[in-house]
Amino acid sequence: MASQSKVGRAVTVTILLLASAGIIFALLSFNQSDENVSQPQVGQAAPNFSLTNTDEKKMSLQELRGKVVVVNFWGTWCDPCREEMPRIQLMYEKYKDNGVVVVGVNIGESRVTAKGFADRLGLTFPIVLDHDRSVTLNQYKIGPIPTSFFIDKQGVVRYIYTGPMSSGYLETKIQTLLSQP
Amino acid sequence: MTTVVRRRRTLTTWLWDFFASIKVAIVIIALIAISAVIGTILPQENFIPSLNPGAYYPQTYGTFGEIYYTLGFSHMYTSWWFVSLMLLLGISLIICSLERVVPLYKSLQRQQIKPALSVIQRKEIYVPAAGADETAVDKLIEELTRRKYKVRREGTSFMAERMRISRFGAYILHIGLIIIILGALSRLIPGWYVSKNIWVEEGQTVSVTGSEFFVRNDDFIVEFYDDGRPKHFETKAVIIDGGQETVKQSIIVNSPLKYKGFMLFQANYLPPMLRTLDLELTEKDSKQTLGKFTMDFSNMQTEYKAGEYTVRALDYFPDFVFGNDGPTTRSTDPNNPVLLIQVEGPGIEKPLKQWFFPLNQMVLEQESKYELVPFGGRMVETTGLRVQKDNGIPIVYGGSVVVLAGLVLVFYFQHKRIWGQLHDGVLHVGAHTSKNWFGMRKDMEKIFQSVGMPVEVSLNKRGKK
Repeated sequence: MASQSKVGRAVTVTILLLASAGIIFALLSFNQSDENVSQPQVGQAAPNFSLTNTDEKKMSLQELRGKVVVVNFWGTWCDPCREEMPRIQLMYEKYKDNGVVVVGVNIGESRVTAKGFADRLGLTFPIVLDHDRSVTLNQYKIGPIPTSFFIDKQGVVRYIYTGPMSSGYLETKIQTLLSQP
Repeated sequence: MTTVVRRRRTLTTWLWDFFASIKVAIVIIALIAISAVIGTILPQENFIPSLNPGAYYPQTYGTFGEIYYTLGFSHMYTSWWFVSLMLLLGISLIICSLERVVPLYKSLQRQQIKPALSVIQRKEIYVPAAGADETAVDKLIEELTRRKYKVRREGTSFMAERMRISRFGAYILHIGLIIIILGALSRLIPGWYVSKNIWVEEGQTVSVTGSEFFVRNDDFIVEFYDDGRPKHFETKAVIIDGGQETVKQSIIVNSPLKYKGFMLFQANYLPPMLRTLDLELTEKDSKQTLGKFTMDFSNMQTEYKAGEYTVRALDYFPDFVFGNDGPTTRSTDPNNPVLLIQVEGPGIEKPLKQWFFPLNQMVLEQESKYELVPFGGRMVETTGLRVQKDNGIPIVYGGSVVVLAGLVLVFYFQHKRIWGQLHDGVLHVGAHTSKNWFGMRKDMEKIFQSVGMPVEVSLNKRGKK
């Protein structure tokens, strides 16, 4: 069947395959830019945020560089969050002088609610208010809460834990990170 | 299929033969069908109520959900391999078509006007009309031309044909399919496809996802049947584009607001929620008003000035419930708001903490001499709008029209061909059609009748029914 010359066929096949590869490549690079804002992974630098705490002072993650930081995402409506709070408080008191900071990120609630909660439970670690939930949803892509990020002295995420943490878990992770530069 | 024996197949000829194979095309179609089915087992990522699919799938569907997510089935239709399958199908369609359409076109171009007489005699429809002369040929050609046949003539021989294009119907259909595939893929271009729910409180202005304009909810109306089923939803919406109110329209179910390629559908609503309360601070015994202020429940302040007095909010439970370990809130929505407050001001040495139930849910004997009495306020309803934009739709519709045109050509039109040759006073006429032989026979009878040579047309033994 001499319908088309060999050269013609070769050119057609090549053009079609190149066009398809081009389309796939273009689509993948489009999607890539969307997925840039996925949850920070272990080993990545923790995205910086700057929020006001319950005492109306600005606080940023950046300024805690050099300390071991536990960022805990929580809400007063979340029972497991309430459950783990006393244990977090305990570990904070035990290790705060060794260079450990806990930052509680309250998700979308009013200052009154967050402060009332902290006072009732006797929480003394800083609590910042993510009023429009942008840090929670866009930067850290938090699903279920509580979720905690353990950040080392270099500002790198080292552990991520979803659900209420036990004192043992908190203590071993804090000690591990403290022992590292 | 290619039967040419080649001494050595280059990569490109191998590829060509691969894509020209119907078997390969069927395998690709089957793979696409299977993938599409798998994609419907669990909801796709853009339909789950969570921003973190990696956590949502294992949590909601267990191990199966985790596998499903890991293999990328949760965003099946945008995954690189699904798109690749679609493109492979496109290539296969193009090459299969080229493989067949080029020879078909060439053979139709090279048709002989005057084939050997025996060829005509062997046609499925063959009529030898005796006692004919050249005028009979002229009349026949005239009649065929009137019937929109294209006639080519060579002396006393002719060849007439109609609707040659119907032979290409299948390939026109293929072009339509390729357009549809491209239309479907166009959704992956950023900004071409948006499908997202937004919540707009009454009085609120919200950015429309994926666009540069805003929508304001001036009023939301919901009516119910007696049994509690909703009867009517309506959002009085205003589009604000570049600071200007450009469109004012009611959005009702099935009657979306259309603006700049976007459609806003009435999709959902939230029940009325307490927004603000106007409060009077009064002294219980004297009933004297000490001051007035407004409390915004979506933006609770730590203190409010009421005349010379200060009402300090110590704790706020938007959705109060008494839990195992004391008072707590079920959500962040003010469904059942309760506050712990204290009043400070002249003559108060030691402020007392007291509970405040803004909706009078509970009456407590409290020591405090003061109370907050609501005298006004505002409830708001929230409308749920679905933002929809799909630039690919016109392309897909266009492709569908082409597919339909191809199908009509394939099913309702035939390529009819008639040959005639005059030999010794006998006009030998043969006819061939791609289908509908009965129609062809009737046509022939009518044509001969019109030129005054009634004949009985029957099919040759070899002919089809």
